[in-house]
Amino acid sequence: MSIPIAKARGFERLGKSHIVFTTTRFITWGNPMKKEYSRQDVRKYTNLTQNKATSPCVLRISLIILLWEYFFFVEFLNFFYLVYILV
Amino acid sequence: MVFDGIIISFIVGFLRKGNLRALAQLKLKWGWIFPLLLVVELAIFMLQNDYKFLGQVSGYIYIVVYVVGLLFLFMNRNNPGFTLILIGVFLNFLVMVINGGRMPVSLEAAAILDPEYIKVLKESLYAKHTMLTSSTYLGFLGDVIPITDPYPRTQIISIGDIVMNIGIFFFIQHLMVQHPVAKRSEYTPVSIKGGEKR
Repeated sequence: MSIPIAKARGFERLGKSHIVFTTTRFITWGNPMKKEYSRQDVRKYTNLTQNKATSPCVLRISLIILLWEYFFFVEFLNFFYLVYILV
Repeated sequence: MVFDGIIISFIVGFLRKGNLRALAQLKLKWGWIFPLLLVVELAIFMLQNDYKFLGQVSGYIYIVVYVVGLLFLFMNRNNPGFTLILIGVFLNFLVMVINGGRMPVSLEAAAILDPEYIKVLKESLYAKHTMLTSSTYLGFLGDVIPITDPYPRTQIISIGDIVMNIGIFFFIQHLMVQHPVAKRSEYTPVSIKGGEKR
């Protein structure tokens, strides 16, 4: 699996695999690595991490990683910033 | 006119039955630099009136930002529309660089805007704008074109903005309609006969 552990653990703590799935699809859409995650992949990964305790700190880090990925690595958003800066 | 070209292009793209799939495949060289430049620019917008030194050098910082932007566009010129965007940005850059790093704004054209904007422009530093005066060079390349009714957003734009937005339009149309990923069928056939190509 390619999803960073901290990221998935954070969402696993929410206890809803469908949130993990939705979020993963959300990340994948703009992921520069362009990996495709299937529902089975996410289920498997959720099962791997579901018994591990997750501290609030890890959860926060997970969310920061998610926001960082989404706002700084989505190429089209960079294009948006470009237009805002240079127009 | 910051995002007008993008929004209009998305609407036209959807009307042409385009999709957003190719946006996820977009790969721009050095694209990561723009979030950082955005932070720098917004910081200057907020602080340039509070710190005199920053206000004095802000014009030079805007020039550096534009030089980086032009280099980025040149490196990515193989993307459809980027040459037009490059020309548009260069026109804005040209008028800014010979007028101290700020975009001249015609007060006559700005009369269609909120009077508060003109007041702020006269009395302090506002974003990267400055007043267009008789001593301004190449004033026709500044923000001199008023856009108002029936266009839904009242604003003043430059010739460079128009050229840039045309380039943006072509770029997004390419991504939404003409890009191989956009043309690709969303669903793979359930069964494929032996030897048959997809």
